[in-house]
Formats: sequence, C-alpha cells, structure tokens
Amino acid sequence: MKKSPNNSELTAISIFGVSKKFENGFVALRDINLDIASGSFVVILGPSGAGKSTLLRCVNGLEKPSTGEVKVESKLVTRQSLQTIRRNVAMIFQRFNLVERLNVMSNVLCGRLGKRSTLGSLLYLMRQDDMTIANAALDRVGLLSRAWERADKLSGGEQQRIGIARALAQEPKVLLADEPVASLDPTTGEEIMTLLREIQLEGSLTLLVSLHQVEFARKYAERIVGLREGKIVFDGPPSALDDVALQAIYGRPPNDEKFVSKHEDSIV
Amino acid sequence: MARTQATGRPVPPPRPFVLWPLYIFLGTATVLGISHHLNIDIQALLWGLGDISEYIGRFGTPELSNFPRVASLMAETLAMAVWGTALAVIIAVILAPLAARNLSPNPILYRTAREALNALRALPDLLFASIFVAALGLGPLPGVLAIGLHSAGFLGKVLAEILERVDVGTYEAMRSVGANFAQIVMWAGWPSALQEAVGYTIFLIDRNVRVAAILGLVGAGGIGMELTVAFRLFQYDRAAGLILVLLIVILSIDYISDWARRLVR
Amino acid sequence: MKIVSFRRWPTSNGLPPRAMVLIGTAVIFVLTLSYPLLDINFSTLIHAPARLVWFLGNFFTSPDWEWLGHLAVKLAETVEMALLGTLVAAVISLPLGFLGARNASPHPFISHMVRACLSSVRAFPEMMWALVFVAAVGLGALPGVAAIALVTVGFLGKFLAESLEAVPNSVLEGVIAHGARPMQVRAFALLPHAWPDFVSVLFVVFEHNVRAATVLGLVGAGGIGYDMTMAMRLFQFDRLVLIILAIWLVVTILDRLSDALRRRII
Repeated sequence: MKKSPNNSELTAISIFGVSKKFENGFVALRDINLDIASGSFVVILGPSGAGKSTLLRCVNGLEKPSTGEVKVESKLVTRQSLQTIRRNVAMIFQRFNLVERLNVMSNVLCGRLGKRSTLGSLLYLMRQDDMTIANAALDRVGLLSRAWERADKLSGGEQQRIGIARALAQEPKVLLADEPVASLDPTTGEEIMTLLREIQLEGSLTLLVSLHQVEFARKYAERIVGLREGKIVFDGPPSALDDVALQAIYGRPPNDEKFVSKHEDSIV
Repeated sequence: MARTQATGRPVPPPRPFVLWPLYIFLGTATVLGISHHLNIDIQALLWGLGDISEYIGRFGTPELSNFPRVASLMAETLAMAVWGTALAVIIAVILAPLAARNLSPNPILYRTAREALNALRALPDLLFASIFVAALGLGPLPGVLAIGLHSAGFLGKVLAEILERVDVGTYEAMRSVGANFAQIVMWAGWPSALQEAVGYTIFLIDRNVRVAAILGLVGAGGIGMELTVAFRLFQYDRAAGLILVLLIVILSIDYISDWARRLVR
Repeated sequence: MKIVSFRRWPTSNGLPPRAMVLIGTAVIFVLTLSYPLLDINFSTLIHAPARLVWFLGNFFTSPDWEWLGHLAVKLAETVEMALLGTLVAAVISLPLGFLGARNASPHPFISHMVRACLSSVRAFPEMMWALVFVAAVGLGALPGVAAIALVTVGFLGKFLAESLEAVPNSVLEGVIAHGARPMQVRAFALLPHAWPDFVSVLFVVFEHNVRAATVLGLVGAGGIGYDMTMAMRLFQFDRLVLIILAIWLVVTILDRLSDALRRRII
C-alpha cells in the first residue's frame, strides 16, 4: 500500500507475444502484446471464452504461456521468480476461492503467507504485525466486526470482500481481478467495483480487471482492452468504446438488449 | 441403468430384465466350478449342517476363571489398536498431500506417494505382522507396526481423495498469494478435509481393534495368541470365554465409534 | 482487540479452538495411558531399526523361480475362495437385506433382530471365523470360504438394508397408489433403486476378500497363506519374495480392475 507515486509512469505489466494453447488443443490466447501502466485501472472486456481469465492467470503464473513472455514490475515471470512475483501481485477470483471452513480472519491472514515461510506459519502462529495488517485490511472492506465467523457463513458479496481483504493483506503493487462481480447480483457488483476503484486510488495500485459487463467497464475503467477469441480487438479509453468497437468484441450489435441480458445469464 | 432418480418421481418402469437369466447361469456355473476345483463337497456340507448344533454345544459354557489375564490381554489389544492407528495417522498425514493430484508439488512425487500407499494397502496386515515378528521378536511392537503400516495405506488413500475433492480454486488462491506447498496443505488442505478425515480415523480405530485381536496368531501380541492356543488344544470353553469378552468389547467400540462419528458430522 | 505479546492463533482469543485442544489432550492422554500396556522397552525400540534393516536384507536373494508354478496354482485358489465367498454371500444377503431394512421388513422386530445378527457376525474378522470353522470342519478351503462368506453377508446385508432405507418414500407411495401388494412393492420399487450401489460395492468387497483370503491359510483355511507361513518359518526368503510380490500384484490389479468396472457401472 506504500507505493511511491513517482514510478507511476513506469510499466507495471508488460505482455509480449503471449500465446496459450491448452493440452486439449484449445487456443485461448493468440499473440497478445500489452503494456499496462503502473497505477492504472484497466478492464479486459470480452465474451466468455475470449481468453480473459487465461490472460490474467498468465500474469501471476497460474498459467504458463505457450510462447512469449510476461514481465511484472520489469521482472520476468518464470518458475524461479514466481514466489517473488506473487508477493507483489494479488488476485481476486470470480468464485472468491476462500477456505470456507476457516474463519474470516484466517482467510485474510492467508494473504500474509507468501511473506512468512517459517515454521510458525505452519502451526497457525501468527506474528502481531501480520495480525495488524490483516485487521487493517478487514477494516478497509468493512468486515472487521465479523472477523471470527466462519467464511462460508457470509453472503456472496461479503465473501468477495474477504477475497479483496486477503489481496490487500498481501500489500501488493498489482491487483488482478478475474470476473470479480460475475457471481454477484448487480447492486452488490456495483459496490464491489466501487470498493475496488477506491482501493486502487488509495494505494495507487495497478488494477487489471476482467469483465463481461459493458456498463461496468465504461463506468470504472481508465482503459479498456477488448478481447475476442484470444486476440486484442480493441484498446482505448472508455470514451472510444463505441458501437463499432463493441461489435468487434462481441461480434453482434451491442445495443441488442436481448443479446446482452442473455449473455449475462450464461455467465452468472 | 436404474440410476436413482433424485427427482422423487414415482417409480420408473421396471427395467427390461433380459440379461439376468444369463447372470444367474454364469453365477451358478462359477460357484459350482470353483467348489469342484477347491474340493468343496456340497453334499457333505449339507450333511454336516446337522452336526453344527453339536459343535456349537461345545462352546456352551464360557470359562472366565482367569479373567484378570483375559482383561490384561484385551487391554494390550486395545493399546495396539490405538498406537497402530496413531502411527497410521502420522504416515498418512505426511503422504496424503503428496498423493493428492491437485495438490502434489510434482508428478514424480505424486506417483511415488500413490504407489507407496497402494503397496501398504495391498499387503495384508498379518503379512506385515509376521515379517516384523521374525525381525523384532514376539510382542506387541510388531503388531503396532503392522497395524500402522497397513492402515496407513488405507487412510492415506482416503485422505488423498478427500484432499482432491477440495475446490481447485481454493488451492489456486493459496498459490497466487505465494504460499508454499506446506502452507497450502496446512491452511487450505487440512482445514477443508479435517471433518471427514476425523470421521475416517474413528472408523479406522474401530477396524484396527478387530485386526489387533487376531494379530496374536503370528505372535504379534494381543488376545489372538491365547485364542489360537485355546483352539489348538480344543479348549472350547476357554475359547468361548475369550470370544465373549472380545464380542462385548468390539460391539461397544462399534457403538462408541458410531456415536463419535455422528458427533463429528 | 486484545493485545497479545508475541504470536497468536487466528482466533478471537489467540488460542487454538477449544474443540481442537480437547481432542488433542484426549488423544495424548489415551496414548500415554496405553503405552505401558504395550510393554515396549527403550532398548528394543532403539535396536529395532537396525534389526529391521538386517532382516529385510534377507529379501535380496534370487527368487526361487522353479516354484512359480505352484505359486500360481495357490494364488488362483486364493482368488477363487474370495470369489466363491463373495458370490454366495451376495445371494444370502439379498433376503437378509430386505428383512433388515425398516421400510421393507414385515415387522420392525424382525428388522431389529436381523440387524443385530448381521452386526455380531461382522464384529469378528474373517480370521477369527476361520479359526472356528477349521476347528469344526477341518483343514481346507471350505472353512476359509465359509469365513469369508459369513463376514461378507454381515457387511452386504447391512449395506443393502441401509441403501433400501435411503430410497425416497415417494417411490413406495407411487407403487402403493397403483394398488400393488406389499411384497410387490418391495421387489419392484425398492430393488432397482438400491441395485447399482449394491453391485458397485460388490467389487469393493471382492477386492477386500481377496486380501483376506491371502492370509486365511495361516490357520489352515486354504489359499496362499499356508505357504506364506511355511516359507516364513523355514526362512525361505527366495519363496517369500515371490509370495509378497505376487500378493501385491494380484491385489493391485484387482483394485484397478474394480475401479474401472465401478466407473463403468455407476
């Protein structure tokens, strides 16, 4: 969260010539080139199956590109550097991916594990400074009062807030969010997106969010990257996202209400 | 297939049972063929059924004159079961995360752990026991080791399967915070698997008491030795006494473990 | 928030959860309490690893290949015993399962009685029954098969009764509405629902029974176990190696086979 503003002009993530072909032959990404400026809010927009998730997962090494390379904070993502890189890159998931049987505080403390590889962390003995950081993170997302409840007792929106708190506890420079609101109702989704933007501004973090909702992308993004069938088909500010661009991303007239709502149903 | 319809719809129509005469024929043929091959004389068997009441009669008066000795052997049996289970839990808890496909740090380790657990499970506990008796001498120690190793194979496989059923996303989230293998196991694996794992461990104690009761056959401690001797010397009264004590103990442990498992759930 | 000096657990009071402490204390208590019963002294424990290694070293001999033919016959006998025991038990457990299931039994009392019998049969391992049967009918495969069948009836009968009880009530009501008589209700409505589970558990039981059959020979109840004891007594490690490898191989193959078959059935 302490990040000097002077390197905001630097590139936080650079993706160079990345392709990804899965073992079953499905090609998720085709020669992606993308530079993301430090401290920016970038939305990756596209229909499901366009490769949004795969792209995000390449950034923190959950997926290994078939060709090309990814650099985070000018460090190459490799097997060896993974552990170091993941200390600075946090991820937020569509299905929250909490450890449901642990209490909320423990889930947030998970964010500290990458920095504490000692025996103590294996015995759940937490240092006081880690507790302080986790407390602050939980407080930031407004769930400090529920710290000792089991994670699966909370609602979807609250679980996503825990997911965000876990990410914050990592004290990351880069925040990746993979369809963070796809499993939530529109109102809750709105709240989560607002929270993400506030957090991004406060810490001048680099935030890379994949979304399929055009309205959210327009409202929150500084820059939108449109993805379709693994290729970048649009790259620009929200103001440039016109009907032509949407047609390029979705392959259909975007103001077709039926299409948009049907599409969202298929995701949720 | 007559798969259960969870919809609660009234009965599916009876399946066309075209094949079942064939199955019955094959089953009967197998039974007769094997009986012939193993020299089991079915006629003599039916004839001998008449003698069974006489045979059971021999067990008529359970003798419990040396009860203190029987009790101490029973206690030794229980202790073997408990310590064997503890050993099994330790081995299984170490090997299971390595043998869970979505958790294991690398494929070679995964294969090795899996095959090791398989081998432990495949070899019968009495085989382990007789090897350990030959190596270490008579007494409960070989029994504990045999129970521990064999049931570690069983428990390890079950625990690995439980760990594999945990949502992959949970493990991925842990990986993406930069947690190492041991941390993922301790923070995401075991907390998610704990409840089921405890249930299986209780079941295992229950099972291991029965196993401990017979390991004495090869000299590995417990009440089994006494029982074999009683049978060898045709002392049916003594055998009946031992069996009676054993039955009471096993059934009460059965009952307690059922209760404990329900408590966990 | 309380201030705790150094390190703490992620719980509200900084201590491990009470349930965990209780269980942990209980486990340690039972283990320490039962340790003296084992009568294991320190020097045995210290010398055990060395003696084990020395003993296991004996297994590195060239196997007695000549003996392989006899071994194959004995192995086949062992598997046959398990198969026969399982088949016989499956047939016997069908009616018992129905009598033991609360929703299929003619009377609750009968169901209770059947259940009690089944669980007392299951209380003892196969080996114990084999001892009893060998004393009754003499050496041979028969007491082994009988022991396997008996324990398997205990298990399968209980399993069937429980899966019959798990069949939803609506199924029964549907048939009764069609005017079927009670016995028909049981046969036509309940069995098809419980059948797939029953068949798939048969494979698991068979695999278990093969493992049990390999040692029954220890008390003279047929199968490879007899040769195993003899080889152990006479320190014929060249044969023992083969026996151990063979058991491992057969059980593993059957394990994979039953897994594959079950996956096809379910």
